[in-house]
Amino acid sequence: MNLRKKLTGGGLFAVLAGLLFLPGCGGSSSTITTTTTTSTPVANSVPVSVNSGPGNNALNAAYVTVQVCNPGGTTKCATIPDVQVDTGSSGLRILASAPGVSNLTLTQVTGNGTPVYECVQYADGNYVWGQLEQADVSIAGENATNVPIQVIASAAAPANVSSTCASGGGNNLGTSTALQANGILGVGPAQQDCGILCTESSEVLPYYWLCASTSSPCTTNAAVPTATQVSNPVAFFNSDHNGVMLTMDSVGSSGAASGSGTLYFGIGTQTDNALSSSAKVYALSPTTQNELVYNSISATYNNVTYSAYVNSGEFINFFLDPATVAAAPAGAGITNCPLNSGFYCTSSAVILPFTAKDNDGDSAQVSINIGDGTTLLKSSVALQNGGSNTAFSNLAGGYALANDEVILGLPFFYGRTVYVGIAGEAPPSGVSTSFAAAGYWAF
Amino acid sequence: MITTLRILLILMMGVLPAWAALGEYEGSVSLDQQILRGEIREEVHTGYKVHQIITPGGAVIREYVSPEGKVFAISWHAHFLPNLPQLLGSYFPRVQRSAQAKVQHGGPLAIQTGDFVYFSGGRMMNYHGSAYVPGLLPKNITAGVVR
Repeated sequence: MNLRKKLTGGGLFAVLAGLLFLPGCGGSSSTITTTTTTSTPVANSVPVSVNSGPGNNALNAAYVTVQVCNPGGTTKCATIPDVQVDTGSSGLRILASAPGVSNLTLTQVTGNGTPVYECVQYADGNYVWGQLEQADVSIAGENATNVPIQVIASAAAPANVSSTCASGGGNNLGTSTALQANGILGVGPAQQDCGILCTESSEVLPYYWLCASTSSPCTTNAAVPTATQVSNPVAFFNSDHNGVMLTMDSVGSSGAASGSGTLYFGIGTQTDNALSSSAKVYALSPTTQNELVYNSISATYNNVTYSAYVNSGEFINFFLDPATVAAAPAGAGITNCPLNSGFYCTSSAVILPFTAKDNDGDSAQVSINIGDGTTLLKSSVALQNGGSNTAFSNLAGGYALANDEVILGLPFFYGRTVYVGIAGEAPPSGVSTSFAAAGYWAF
Repeated sequence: MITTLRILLILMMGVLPAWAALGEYEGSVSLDQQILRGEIREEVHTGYKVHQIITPGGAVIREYVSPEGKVFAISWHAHFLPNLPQLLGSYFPRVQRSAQAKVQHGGPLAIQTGDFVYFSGGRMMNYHGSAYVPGLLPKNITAGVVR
């Protein structure tokens, strides 16, 4: 949980009203009766764009523009376009080389006076490395002060990157071409990117590092209190801080050159972000896989239940493996693409139904669309052979060694509204407060 | 499923199963300092055995050993990517090549070749993956046992 005190919009209005109507010297002594204060709604939505990104190489990446400012209410800000919306992580990460960032003077996060850096490894072995800084962050009309963010080092291979960070075998993603974005806006269900496991000095995870030098590899793993870990900026907003609502427009079965949508802040806090009566709310709950505990919901396909995760940062839907999918009548004909292994191919469009479920008994039938991966990829910018499409609602894939997992990536979001409720924040009315334990999804 | 399963809990004071990289003989590599600090367990299955270690950071790493004593598969579930050079040994450069050649950032990394199969998936705080050498799979054992 965050220790910082929040001033709500309503609270702020009340304070201002109190100041305005302070009885002056010798003025009226009549009692001011303030009844309910209606907060003036702030602009809580920002346009989302799916396009080829700053490197002209992205697929199914949803971008927004984020403003990052020097702390302390200054007007020294950088307006950063093409920041990827990622419901699968928490915290804002921006490239040091992103527009305007080099002109900022942010507040270093330190441990015992030594700057704290972070290594974030991705499953494919690629990684980002960079310093923790506190910044004021604004998106639409929402403002957050002193948010711990990560500034991703601009050098292709920063000299002080910890040796374990590169142990995945991949590349440093410290450029907009490599990252396929100018930054990542992690608006997942967690308050911080690591949480309690990075605060225990005895068993600290290798995310945070104390780096006294910028020229030699960091070797000191750091325990960092949650208050200064890279944090979901939405939870730091003065208002509309209990989650997000992401509405994406539909994309046709042949793909599209671009996609669009809207990211709303808050769930049920304003008239434009009400929890739809048709949406089912799923509480995240601890899932144990080979003794590792993490939070998820589940998906039941062909009478077997698997763990499921909703992640706008993934560019396709990962759904089990070809053999498991094709074993049910609904998935008949799905094969591994011969030229693009890991993607699903099919001679005719498939609508794959499954049941989304949580541990509280909430469940609903949903589906994903699967088109022919080879045909779709041919039309995309990713293969760099003349294709111009960047948005696909029916790209899916899977692997035999991952035949027990469902990840609903950005294709799942097209034509839908997906809500992400942040753990530790009050859910809207109609949603059990117990859902705040680990956060929730609704769709 | 598993017809015979004996789990021997071998505590730190007891005999430690030796750890080795993928494709190497059990015991060919000395125990890494980090691994030594974990709790090690040995499972004996029909046709193969598994060394499992849970490190202080909560990483669960499983090493599958054939009756001939060779490590034919590795798997992990962890809050961070494990030390892949150590786990994969001579196969790690293949992961490096594949990772660095990847055009599309994001998603898992998978390698499917005749003599090496690899998958690494997940996201921050939840990583999992496995690798095996098809040619080293023990008799009557399929890759389906790798979890």
